[in-house]
Amino acid sequence: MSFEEIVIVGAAESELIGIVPDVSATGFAIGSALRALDDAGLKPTDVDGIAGTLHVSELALQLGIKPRYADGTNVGGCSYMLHVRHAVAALRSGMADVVVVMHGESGRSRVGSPPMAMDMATASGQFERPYGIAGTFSMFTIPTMAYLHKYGLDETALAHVSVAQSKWASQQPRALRQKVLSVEDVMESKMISWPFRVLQCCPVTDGGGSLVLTTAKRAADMDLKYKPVVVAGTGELVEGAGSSFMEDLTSFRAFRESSAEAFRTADMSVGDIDHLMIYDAYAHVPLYGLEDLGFVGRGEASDFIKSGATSPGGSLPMNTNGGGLMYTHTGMYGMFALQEAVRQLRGTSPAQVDGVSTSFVQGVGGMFAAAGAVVLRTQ
Amino acid sequence: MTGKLLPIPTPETRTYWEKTALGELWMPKCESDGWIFPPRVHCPTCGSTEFDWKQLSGRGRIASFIITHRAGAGYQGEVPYFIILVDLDEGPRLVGNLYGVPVEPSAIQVGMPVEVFFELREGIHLPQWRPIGSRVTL
Repeated sequence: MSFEEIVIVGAAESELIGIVPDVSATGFAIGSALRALDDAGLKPTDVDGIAGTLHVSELALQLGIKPRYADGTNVGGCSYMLHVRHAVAALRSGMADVVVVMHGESGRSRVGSPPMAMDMATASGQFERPYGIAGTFSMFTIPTMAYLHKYGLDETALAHVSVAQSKWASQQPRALRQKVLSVEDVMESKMISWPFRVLQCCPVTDGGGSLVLTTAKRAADMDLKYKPVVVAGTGELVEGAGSSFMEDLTSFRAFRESSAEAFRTADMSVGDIDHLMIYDAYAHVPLYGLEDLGFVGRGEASDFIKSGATSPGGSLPMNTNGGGLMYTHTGMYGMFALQEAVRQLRGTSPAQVDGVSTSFVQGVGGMFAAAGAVVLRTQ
Repeated sequence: MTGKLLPIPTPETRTYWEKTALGELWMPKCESDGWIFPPRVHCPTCGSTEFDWKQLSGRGRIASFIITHRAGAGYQGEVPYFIILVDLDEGPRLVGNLYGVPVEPSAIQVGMPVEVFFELREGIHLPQWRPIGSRVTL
């Protein structure tokens, strides 16, 4: 069975990202949506489908449209990978003709953002949260020692992730952290949640980004600045409540299964991938990702990164915007990983890698609770 | 008032919290598929709603841990402190704090045996952890 090709025709981040105290969460979403639509040569009235983690009815009102397709899926930071996956299905089935996936978050400045409330009746509320979980840095990180112990690795295994990504971030003018880091810089930075130092934890920022998707057939009739980027394959899996409930503390099932489905639906394997984005709220996540996606064997990810393979000039350029650790992390970072993948495929990244024709984007949501994967390629 | 967060028991978990108030650790156990945690109204493997609650030994091993230098609600006077994952001898995994050892990386390792004790927090008895044989309480 052959499916209609679905493409990304517009992509943009908000004009400003980082510390931006005068734009609301919705403002970031709408602002980036208008920029992404402009990028595609479209107007808001051309849009009949929307997706986002903010209230979709509010997004529709603010954008000034009445969409016939709305996706408010929210499984945390990888929600936008799921939105892309669902948009592909919607566009193929005729539920929508043009879908805009929007992200806006005032994670740092908390402008127009709801207070972060915890439901203490959930599984996490009853069995995780009472124990002094101060933030994601003391819960998302907690499986890491099981991983390091299993493979006989020490704390510096995490530092290499930050070092490698700092080399990319130094080429990205919009990155919040642009300094090239040494292992010593990382290890001597402020302790947050042992073994995690501050330079192994994402900063908290403000920003937004949007993607415009349509069918390849419609895109062929559009006057586009850039060639469409094809959504070649997708996958998602919801594993459950969070890190203490993982089946295996050293491997994330939702990474394994969502990536396998994305590879299968793209009819590709790891050897076909030129460029990789793995959601990195904390430095351990790319280690899990590289292994769970099958790019390296078990316990090999840190040595692979240390070898320079994922750094500029390496065989598998990864997190070329500097990642959530260095570039920006609004709270639900997934949209920024997708944006960098589109830039690399268009040839417009400030840290452009030569000859990128395929990119694999792996997201995680809610502290090892859910995952979404998207394979993109040039047309 | 400690300012520490309190779990809100639900019909599915009420027995768990009633048993911790007695100083015991109990979980639902399906005859064919084993322990069910977090407690649910059914066995997620076979779908059965016919199962009993059983007591666990309260002993296990540290599966993973962090030492947080930033305090969660009500923990402001305690930083740095351990947050640990305990794999119980019977299989299920619980989160808790570790007491009775110095709060430093060299005092703890993955695989270290621990036993449960209970912290009374505003009417709720929370499972907490100490080395086997330690007499520490809260």
